Amino acid sequence: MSSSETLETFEIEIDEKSQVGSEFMARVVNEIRRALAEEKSKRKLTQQEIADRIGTSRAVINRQVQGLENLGARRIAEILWAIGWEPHFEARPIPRESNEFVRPSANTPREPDLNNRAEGAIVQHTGRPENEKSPSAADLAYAA
Amino acid sequence: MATFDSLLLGKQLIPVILRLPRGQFHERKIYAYPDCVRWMRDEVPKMTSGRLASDFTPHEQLVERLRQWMSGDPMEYGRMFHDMEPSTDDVWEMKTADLRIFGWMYQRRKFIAVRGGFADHYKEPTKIKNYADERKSSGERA
Repeated sequence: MSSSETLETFEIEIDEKSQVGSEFMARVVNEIRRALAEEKSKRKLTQQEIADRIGTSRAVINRQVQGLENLGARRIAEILWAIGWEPHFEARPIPRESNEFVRPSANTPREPDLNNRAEGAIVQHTGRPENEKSPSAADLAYAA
Repeated sequence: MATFDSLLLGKQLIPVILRLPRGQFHERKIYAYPDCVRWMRDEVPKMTSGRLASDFTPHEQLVERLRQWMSGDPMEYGRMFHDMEPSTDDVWEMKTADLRIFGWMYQRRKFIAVRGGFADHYKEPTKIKNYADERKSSGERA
């Protein structure tokens, strides 16, 4: 942008990889702060006590819980342990449509939608014509 | 004296937009001076992390802090965001590991970013800048 150039709005952009990394760490830091706040409301708890338990300085703990210093998985567990909590981590697949790296390309054959009869690729095989209703419990009892 | 609307109309204040992740909504707004937009757009993406050696690039830090602000996430008063001279000119500082953004609160939920800089330039022993000096020059122009 030159000094003479003027903008109506400025949209700041970030690539998907960077976004997921920083959002995840922000969620982790927020969760640690929530746990700390909850413990502080229950009992008198200082950052110095947490630092002493872990064996580091209060300044480091302060920067880490503010998201201003790197926080490794081990330190996450240590901070939570020091306040009587534990982390819970679970990985799960991203829905196909939500991630450009797993989004199907035009050449990739689509998996059939099992809930969409209009797509019609797979139906449960019952030996009955498709428009015939499944027998109800009453029908089966009568037949027996 | 210029009003907020006239500055916006004259493009001396530029709304900053960030697409928020699914499930988050724009609860707070940020506007920036053209110099600050230029800094965010042209300088921050080229920066590397400073003495705190953050895992995240300054650009990632900026986007995350703006996301927190815009989405209405709690902002920790103190380290992340604090007022510099609340009794005089209401100068606020938005912080990340490597960045400093100085500005003021026009209204609740509306932050006006005036100037941005690299954190190490505002901290001893590598201090070479002072926000107060920059505030004076910004004030003279506005």
